Amino acid sequence: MGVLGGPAGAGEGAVALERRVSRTTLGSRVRRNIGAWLIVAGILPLAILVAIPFVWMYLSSFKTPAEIVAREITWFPSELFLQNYQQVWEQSDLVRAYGNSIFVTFFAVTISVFTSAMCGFLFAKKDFWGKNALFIFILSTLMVPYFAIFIPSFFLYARFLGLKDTYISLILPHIFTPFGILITRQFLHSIPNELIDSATVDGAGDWKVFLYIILPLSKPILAAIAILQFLSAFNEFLWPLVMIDNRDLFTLPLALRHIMSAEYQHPGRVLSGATMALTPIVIFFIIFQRHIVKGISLTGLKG
Amino acid sequence: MIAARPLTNLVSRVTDPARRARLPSSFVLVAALSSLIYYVIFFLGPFIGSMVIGLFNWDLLTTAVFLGPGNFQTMARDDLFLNGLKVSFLFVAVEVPIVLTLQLVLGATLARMRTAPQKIYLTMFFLPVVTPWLVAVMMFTFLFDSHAGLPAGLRDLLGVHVINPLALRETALYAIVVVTGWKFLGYGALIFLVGINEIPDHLYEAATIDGAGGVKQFTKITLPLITPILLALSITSFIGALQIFEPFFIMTEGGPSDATRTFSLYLYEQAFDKLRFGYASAMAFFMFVLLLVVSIIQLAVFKARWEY
Repeated sequence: MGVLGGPAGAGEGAVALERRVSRTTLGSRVRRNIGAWLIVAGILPLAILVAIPFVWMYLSSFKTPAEIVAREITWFPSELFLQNYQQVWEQSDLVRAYGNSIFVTFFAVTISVFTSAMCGFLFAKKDFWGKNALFIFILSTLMVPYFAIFIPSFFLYARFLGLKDTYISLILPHIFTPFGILITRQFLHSIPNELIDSATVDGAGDWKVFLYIILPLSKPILAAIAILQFLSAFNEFLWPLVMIDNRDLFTLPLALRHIMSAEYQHPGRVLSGATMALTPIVIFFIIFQRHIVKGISLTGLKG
Repeated sequence: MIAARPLTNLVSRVTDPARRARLPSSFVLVAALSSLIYYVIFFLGPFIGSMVIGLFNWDLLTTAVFLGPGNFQTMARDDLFLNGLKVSFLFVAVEVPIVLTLQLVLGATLARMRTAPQKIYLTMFFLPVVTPWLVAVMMFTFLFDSHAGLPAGLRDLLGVHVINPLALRETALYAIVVVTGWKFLGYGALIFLVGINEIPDHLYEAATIDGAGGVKQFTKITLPLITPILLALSITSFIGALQIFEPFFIMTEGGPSDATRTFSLYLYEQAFDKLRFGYASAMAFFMFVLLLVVSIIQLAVFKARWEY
């Protein structure tokens, strides 16, 4: 569907070029190319504006305390001052926080991808009493803002379930996702029933059909759900803030908040902490960039 | 597809003992019951709880006192609550239209690019989207700082005297608009880009033959055809912007003099700093009703405009 194929994908590019050559003169082709480059150049200032905070943060994290607040402003640090990193590294357990975040996110993503596939299959292809009511009930949770159930949820987890300061309290809110169920259901609607029915005739039960037909078929949409769930679980702040007091269980955002308040007088240290937190994410993003962008465009809208 | 179904259903109903007894399979039972139980416990329960707690005066330490609508009456007289509403709506009223416009323009521009530059730009504009809020907040707090960041740079570069926008009552909220715009620009642009790419090429080709320029093509073809996306994105942006928390909580802590103490921040403070859980729950319920009404109005307005 040319989501990211753009106007000239690999195969169609050759055809388009041929057509263009036969139809247009050299002059208009050059003009069109100039137009295309003008568009590219027009966006450049905006892209630079968006990039400046990152560049500034990376550079400033190497500045000495004196240099960072000096009257003479500098872009580049005069020396590679690594004490910022050393201080933050020693005083806050960023590695542990990273580990905690990855641990929690791993379970949140894996379980929610599984339940999305399971319920997507259920609502797309199965019939049972109360199916529509259940589906509408699950969908209606999308309408309710986060804050509306925040306080009672806190009591439910902290008081009734006794889950304060546990990993489970951070995983549990993510294990079902109405959005994931909705888009998996839509995706599976396009799969012909014959595929499932023929397996059923061959004696495969629902679980077998689910594991050997539905799961492999839904891979692209499940990858997209995994990405969305990863972003929301990994970056979550407010919920861990009220659930977690034990510093050993701090997730990355909580550890960063701690650095921010403890080191507020030392911008260089705060920025080096932010840099250490961001760098693996940037690397991860650049490696999986295609999948992440495709995943978000596949699933379209999510607030 | 439709014709094949009754036959195989019949076959399986005869051969499969579970179907014959008309009992749902274990898969259906597990999937339906697990999701039902989960959403009843972790969603419906808290949702009803929020309404009930909102009727009480409850601070965790003493027993709850039933107030009835008392919390809602308090809300009407609470200046900080009214201030929070005002700040939140001002923020949304400024942030959503500006960011949505930028996203649309960027998305439409990216759609006209070739694959290679488009990909590079998408990567650049998407980095803020995957950046955790906390990192963004740390970055911008000091970027706005008069000594370490941008104001100092502008002073040296242009000789103008700028102070930290976060420290001024008049500008703090707009500084946060800049941060959220920076963070979400690439997200909306991608959504618009995808929508625009799905518009069939022949419409543009026909327009080009008729002599319509880029701007005219945008207003006459692109804009009408992506109205549904614009509608959906405007509603989610609205709801999302009202709930943004981290920059207000960490960058400004509601200040200076309550200029950035949003509704959600005030709600959080009432609950977890002042332990007024009943009052905060009433506020949360109010927020739910408000958002519901606003989404319905937005939907109705857009529908009326778009089905003329």
